[in-house]
Amino acid sequence: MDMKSQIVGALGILAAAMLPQAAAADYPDKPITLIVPWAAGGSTDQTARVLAKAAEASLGQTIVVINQPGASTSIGMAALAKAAPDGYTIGTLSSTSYLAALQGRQLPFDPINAFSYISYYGDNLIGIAVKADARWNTIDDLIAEGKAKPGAIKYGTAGVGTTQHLTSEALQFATKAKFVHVPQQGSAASVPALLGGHVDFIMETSVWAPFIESKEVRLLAVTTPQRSKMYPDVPSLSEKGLKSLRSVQAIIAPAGLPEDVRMKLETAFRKAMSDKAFQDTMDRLGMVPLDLPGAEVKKLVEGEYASAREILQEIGKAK
Amino acid sequence: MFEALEKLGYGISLSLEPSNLLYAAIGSVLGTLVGVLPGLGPVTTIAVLLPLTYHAGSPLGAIIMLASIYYGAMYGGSTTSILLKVPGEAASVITCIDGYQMAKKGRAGPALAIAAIGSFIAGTVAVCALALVGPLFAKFAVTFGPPEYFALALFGLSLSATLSGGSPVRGITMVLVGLLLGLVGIDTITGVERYTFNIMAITDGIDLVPMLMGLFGVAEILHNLEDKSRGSLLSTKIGRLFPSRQDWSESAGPIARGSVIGFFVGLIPGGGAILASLMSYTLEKKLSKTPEQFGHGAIAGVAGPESANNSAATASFIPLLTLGLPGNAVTAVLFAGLLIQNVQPGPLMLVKNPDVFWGVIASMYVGNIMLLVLNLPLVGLWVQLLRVPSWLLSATILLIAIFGTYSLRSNFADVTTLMLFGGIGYLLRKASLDAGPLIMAFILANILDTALRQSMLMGDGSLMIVLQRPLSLIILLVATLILVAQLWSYFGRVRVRPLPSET
Repeated sequence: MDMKSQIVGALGILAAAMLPQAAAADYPDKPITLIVPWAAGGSTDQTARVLAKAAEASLGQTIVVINQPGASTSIGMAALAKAAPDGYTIGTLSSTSYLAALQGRQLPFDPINAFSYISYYGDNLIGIAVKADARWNTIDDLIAEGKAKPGAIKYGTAGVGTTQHLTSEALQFATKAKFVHVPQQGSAASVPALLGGHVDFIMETSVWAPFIESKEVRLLAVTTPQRSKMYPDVPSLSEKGLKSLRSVQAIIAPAGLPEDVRMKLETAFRKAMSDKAFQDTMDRLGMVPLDLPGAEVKKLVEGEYASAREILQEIGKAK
Repeated sequence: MFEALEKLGYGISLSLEPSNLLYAAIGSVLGTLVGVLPGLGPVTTIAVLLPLTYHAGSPLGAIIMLASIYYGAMYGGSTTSILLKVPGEAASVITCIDGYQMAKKGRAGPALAIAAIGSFIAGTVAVCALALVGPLFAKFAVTFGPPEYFALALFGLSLSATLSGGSPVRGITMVLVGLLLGLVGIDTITGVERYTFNIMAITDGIDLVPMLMGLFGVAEILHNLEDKSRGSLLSTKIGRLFPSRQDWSESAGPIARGSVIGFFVGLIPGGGAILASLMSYTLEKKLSKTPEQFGHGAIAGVAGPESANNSAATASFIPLLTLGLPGNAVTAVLFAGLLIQNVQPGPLMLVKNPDVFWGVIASMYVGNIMLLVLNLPLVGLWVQLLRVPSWLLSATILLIAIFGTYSLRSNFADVTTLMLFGGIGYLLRKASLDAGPLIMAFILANILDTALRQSMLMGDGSLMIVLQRPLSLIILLVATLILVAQLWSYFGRVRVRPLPSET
């Protein structure tokens, strides 16, 4: 690099520093960081990475994915909430983050209002799975036995206070069935617990999918608003008039993001949803793509937050 | 059985294609190089190098590279345990005990060589067993539920108190401290935070890797700084590089037994390499004619555990490949690597992609051979590391340990943990308290606590379920026997002669 171009470059940086408003028009002119508050390799990490890759094309900048896992996503979310709202630090939102706030966890940020909402990209598919040789053929059988023999049926989920756990609490409250919760350490641990007969059913994300195909596990119901296109014969809880929580996957940024920057990101990320690699990854993980504009994402999240609070109040665990 | 061998042969022939061999070579070298950096154990190494495998020409090539990186990183981790007392991962903690003592006595060469050869033999045994009986054992693995884990964790605890010799009172004290530290964080059963004092960094509990590196690596550096007289970490002359005839005869038994123990322990999801190496170490100490040498550089204390953890690591692929269940952090990262190559490990893998299944198994074997071929000549080079002036080496290790810790989760709190436990480890050394039992208890605390309460939920509030299930009953009986035998031998000894002097 010669002296002249160095001076020009320095002047450019100086100009950018002096005129922050003008920067929005040039946005993005440097790589963007995407905070994933989960460990590498999980479903959020895998989907966010392919989506970010596809969004790079329309943004013309690299998106660097950083994993900041820990404390049920609170560590990564706190880092995101603290970042400058300039569009160069964005992140993923999972329902786990705001559910933690409802359970008495002290968070250094407001779980809803500390963020700007860019776009939605899908729901994790959560289902109620039993072993293939289980005596229940339908979700109604399972509920009926839960009412007839309260506490005899044991079930597993990824852990206390997860979407999976709260949805099963809502199910029990609405149907008066009584099951015993045996919390597992993460979704992956639920499958061996079911296969080994240590629990009778699991309410879990699609970790059961390969075992449905091998006919070792049967799916009794899904908790998504509609039936899953992969399992068209399996009813959704909402068909039965039962409440369920969504397992949200969205792209967010710190609150106070300039609207034109937010719009650029929203356009890029929504466009990225038509990417083949993204769709394949969602299919492989049994996740359901859903395209929503930022404004509706916030409404959806607020609604989910209210429903979760209601469930916790019903079961007497609201804090 | 014959059919399985034939398929394995087919898999091996695929892996021996020149391009695949090249991937194996690149993988082993890179894996070893990164694994040798203090604090960068297999999990981090694979995570860091995973993107490289995207560019391999074929799924099989990528998987071979992954397996080679894995074995390379494992071996790299053992290298730093032996030379610098910095374990790259929990499973190498046991290797630190005698391996580092050997290095201090100028026997780093034989320790490194026996670790490599033991790992290779154990890997071979485990790969063959995996090919022959793997799918059968997978079914058995899921019968291991909370009551069995509880029994197994108790069993591990009964072994850990007397891990590195010395007085049982000190050992048990360290076990109790480890258990307390292990309970920090969100309680799995109720979701309530315990002993976190609202510090977000420890909501999930104290992170193992910075704690390990602090207690062992940083503490060792601080300790070395006190000794101004020494120019380098090594005070004596470096002896021969390769094991002597006597080393061989002392290592043969431990390697064989370690391979077998490791395989069975590795099958259990979550049981993992650390339990395997702990069990092997304790067993060898019991069987040895010279148990007093353990903790002071016994080669059997390196050969056994190193074989056991390699065998366990290979066996842990069985639940991964046949059930799609990653049993530990390493297999979880490998799982992600396979998914990226569009290979879905699980019950259908053997049916849907038999080529890949046998290819993966064969690739582990190729990775193992490649590692041995590359690393034996490098033993001399690694040993030279000990000649680097102490001030330079210490500063470098510290720097890399900090970088390594930060890179795990991009969280500065982890660096604080590293330093804090470095200080604690230093003080423990001053008080002649051994950090080994502490770290074992720390790891087991979480399994013990969660499994106990899951068992009680399964048993409608009663603990009897632990005694009613045959498998957990057997493990508990063995644990009790070991505990009684240990107490017996200790108090028996006290009666014969006065209290043994502290070491």
